[in-house]
Order: sequence, then C-alpha cells, then structure tokens
Amino acid sequence: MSTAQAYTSYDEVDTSSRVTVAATTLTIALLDDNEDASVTEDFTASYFSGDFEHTLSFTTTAGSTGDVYVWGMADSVSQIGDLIAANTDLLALMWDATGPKLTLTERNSTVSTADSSSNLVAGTKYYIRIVRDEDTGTYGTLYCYIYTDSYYMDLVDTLVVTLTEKKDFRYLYAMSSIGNGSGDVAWAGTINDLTLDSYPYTFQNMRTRVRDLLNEATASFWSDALINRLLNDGERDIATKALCLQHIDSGSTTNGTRTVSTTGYRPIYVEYSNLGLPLILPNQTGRRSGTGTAPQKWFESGSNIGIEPLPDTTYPLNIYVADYPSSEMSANPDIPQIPAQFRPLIVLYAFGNAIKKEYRIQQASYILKMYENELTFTKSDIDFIPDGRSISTDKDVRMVEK
Amino acid sequence: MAWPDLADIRLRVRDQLNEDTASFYTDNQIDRWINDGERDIAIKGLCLESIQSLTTVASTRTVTVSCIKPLHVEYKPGSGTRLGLIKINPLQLGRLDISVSTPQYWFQWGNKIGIEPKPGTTTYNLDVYTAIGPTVLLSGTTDEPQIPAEFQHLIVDYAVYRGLIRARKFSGASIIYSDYIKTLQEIRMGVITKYNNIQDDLKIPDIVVIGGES
Repeated sequence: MSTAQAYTSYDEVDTSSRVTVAATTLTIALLDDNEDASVTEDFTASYFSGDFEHTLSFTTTAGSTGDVYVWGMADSVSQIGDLIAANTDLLALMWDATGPKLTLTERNSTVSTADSSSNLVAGTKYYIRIVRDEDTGTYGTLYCYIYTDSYYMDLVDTLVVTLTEKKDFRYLYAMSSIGNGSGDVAWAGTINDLTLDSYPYTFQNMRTRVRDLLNEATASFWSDALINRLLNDGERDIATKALCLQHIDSGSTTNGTRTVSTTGYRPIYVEYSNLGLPLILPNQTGRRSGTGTAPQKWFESGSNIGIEPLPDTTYPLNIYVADYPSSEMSANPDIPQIPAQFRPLIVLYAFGNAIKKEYRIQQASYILKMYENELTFTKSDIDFIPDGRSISTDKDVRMVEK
Repeated sequence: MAWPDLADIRLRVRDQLNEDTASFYTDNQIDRWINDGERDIAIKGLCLESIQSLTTVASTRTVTVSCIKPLHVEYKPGSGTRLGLIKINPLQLGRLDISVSTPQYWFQWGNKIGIEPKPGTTTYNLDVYTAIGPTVLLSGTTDEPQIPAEFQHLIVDYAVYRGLIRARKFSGASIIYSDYIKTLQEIRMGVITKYNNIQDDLKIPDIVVIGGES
C-alpha cells in the first residue's frame, strides 16, 4: 500500500465537532486548548521501530490564539497535552501561539526534551519533515525540518532533539488538541498530506544509492566518510556548472564607490528601482548615452559588481545570483540545497568518482561523461529565453468568419 | 489492476537482469531504481503536469512555486478575461510598454516566479502551469506510476541500466541508457512539447483535386 495516508481511515475523537476530515486534509475550526480532539491511527504495537521519516504540511489561520499538535507518536490515545501531564512517553510537534513557533518534544516519563524554532508566521503554509535517525546518538536523534515550499528549497529552521530512550511506538497522531489547557485560546487551520515516505535524496539515502551501484552495502572498501565527501563535492559541482541555485540578494551602492560586493558563483541580473540594468564591460564606462545619476548599467568584477554611472548616493539593488550551497550536508536526513531536479545527479557524480579508488579509470570516465550529459540535459530546461514577439498578439491564428 | 504497478515493473526488470528472485539484486534496490526512474522521466520529460493556483504577495515581485519547471502563467482577475502572461527575463524589467498595474509578464528565478509590473498593495490570483515530479513513492506492489502511460515502460529501462552498472556491465548499461534517453526525447517531442497553430495551418490549398490526378 502507498505510504500516503488517508485521514478518512484514521480514528477521530472530536467532542466539540471542530475537525472536518477529508482524505488528505484536516480542517480545524477554533479548537480550544481545553477541548478533546485527535485523529490517530493504530499501526499495532511497536510498529514505529528504527528510523522513519514523516512529511506533512499545515497552515495556521492568521489570528489563531491557541496551540495544537500537528504530529505525534505515542503508545496510547488521548490528547497529547493530557499524555504529557500523565508522564506518558511520546514524540510530538506542537504549534505554539507564543512566538508563534514550532516545538519538537520527546517526553520520557517525567522529562521533556525539546527544541523550538525561530518565530514563524500564521497564515504561511509550512512543509514539515520529521525524521528519526537511530544511528546518531546513543538512542537516536529526532529532527524536524521546516520549509515554506514542498520541494524543500526554502529551509526556515531545523529542530534537533537528542533522544533519551529507544522507544518503539504504536499510534501515529495526525493531530491532537492540547486537551488540558485553561480554555479561551483556540487554534484554526488546516493540516495536509501526511506521508510516511523517506525523501529519496537525503544524505543517507543518496549514500545508499551510491552503495547500490558500488555493490557494497556497508562500509568496507569505501568508507561512509569518503562517500559523504563525494556527495558534498557533487552538490557543489552541479551548482557551479548549472548555476541552478538561484537567489535574489539585496545590495546597495555607496556614495563615490563604483562596486558592490556580491556572494555566490556569479551575478546574472541586476535590478534597480524595478528596472533591469544592462550588462556592460568596464571599458564601456563613461560612454553611456543616458543622463541622470541613478544606476543604469552594471559590470562584473571578481566578487563585486560595478555600477555605472559612479554612484553618488545609496541606491538599493536586487542582485540575481547563481549561488553556492551555503553549508555542507552532515546529518543523515539533510538534503541538498540545489533544486530537486538536480539532486539525483549527485549520486552519479559520487559513484563515478568513487570507482576511481579501484583504479577503474576508464569506467569512471564513462560514468562521469554520463553525469555531464545528464547535467547538460537538466540544465537545458532552466532557460531565460523570453517568449517570442508573436505570442503577444492573436495574429498567429485567424479563424475564418462564417 | 491496470498495467503497470510496482510488481509488474519489478518483474520486467528482473526478467531483463536475468534474476527471478532476489539474490544479487534485492527488491529494495530495484524499487529504489524504479522510483528514481519515474522521477528521472518526470524531470527529463516534463510530462507530469499540474496547474497550481497561487496568489501574489503585496508589494513583492516574486511568488514561490514548487515544481520542476513553471511552463506558463495565467492571471485570473476577479471578473473579466483571464490573461496568459508573456515570459520575459529580469533584464527586461521596467523596459516594457505597460499601461496597467495588473500582471502582464513573468520570469522564473530559482523556485520563484517574478511578476511584471511588480504588484503593489493589491494581490492577484494566478494559475501556474507546471511540470512536477511524482508526489508519492511507489512502495506497495499495487502502486502505479503517476507519469503518463506513454512514458511508463521507460522506467524498466532506467532500472535495468542502473542494475547493470551495479554488475559492472558498463557497455551494456551504456547501450540501454542511450536508448532510454533517445526514446524519452522522442516521446517528449511527440507527445509533451506544446505548440500553437499558425496561420499556414489554416490555409486552404488553392487547388484541391479529389483522386489525386487531373
């Protein structure tokens, strides 16, 4: 069966009729923190053993004043706030109206271990990956990755809880009210698309894919550390060659200074005051035909861009850059920063370079040529080609009047 | 149960790898290649299409769109005629003849689409025509691929080429990989790539002779 969960097959407790259950959406209307509501599934005893990854998305309605659990795991069914008060072991992710923020919690008997996010925004849809990695730490580590897009490009925060016990859980919570609150604070919003899939291109899953091709299931000739290096090298190689990690950076000119510093592999476009600036070479400065002192053209110079004419004050700029990955992958659940369509290529890059260690140079060359072809193919679909002039009119097709 | 589900695809991969039951190749490995293949086809074929409804943010040029590639953007006014926006690049910002404040042009930058003219305090509704990847992994034996039917057989080729690499049969892998890419491009050109009719398509020939000879 698919790992996409149907909420309609889950068990619902909803004493105040706040929850509307559809197949992939829970719509919750003004659920007070002293009301009882939960949507859970019994996966049978000790089902959630070992590593897992669950994904979901949710949106808090702007103006909500209450808290809610958007995910949880326990060995019994109640409201998660009640379970914590009763010192019941569980894992849970709570939207906390104070902040607002998300808090990831492990409850082990009387002790809670938790990590909270930076401040979030009600009304924004957040995409969540919750991962338990039992290979990290004595009892494993629980992660919560918070994104604002479903392709996992815009990472807002990562929560990390070092687990204090090895615990295999039975019930999965698609949502739960607090239950034991004092009332008069309510949460409204939607929770969507709970899935039990592991993202295919996590650091760990990419390593597994490389090992599939190397025919070495566990580290022997190739250490995990070696493969990890190659995976990070691969991400950088792709970002460099495809210029695919694209950001819009803010910059500003300084009075009397020609250049503005940039970060990333290469600036591609510069915008000033809603105007795209043409790219020139430094030997074209002073030869412009226009008038005025505001930025009109730009040129590349090392890690800077030059602005023509020489700025006479501070002008804000939007700099469209092809960026480099801001950090390396290190934890098993980390995923590359490059766009989703480029992530599979990292595996081919790492494999092609790994077999050099066997002195299979010819085969390595063949694989890396394949990688370059794949990269060219994928890059070709990132284009900046404007539509042709003809599309702006209906002259192309003239139907005959009858 | 329609063809193909995960079990069907796995069976065909095992047929070609000449291994009926798991030994050198585990089912988990083959399933990973099958899922990777479906994703690879969606990326290269731009064949899994979805229309996403988005709303611009006040005083913000860009809107986040989650997809492999945004293909077209349509502005949906509260009332009146919807408008297909014209694709530009950021160099053209501010250099187009625009007499209205509603969206007229768009460009892609990373996982954002930019709107020209830049939205003011009003927000605008857009339909973004996108190519996406599979949204759910094939995990149960009766799960079926999401990519269109005309591409589904290629999943087998992808998984077999990966399997041959594992067996260090590089020349065989190379041939299957080349055929896979060639076929994928042919199907993309024939089935997926969009075009519009031009005036010549609607012309009636000057002389039409029934029977072919005069």
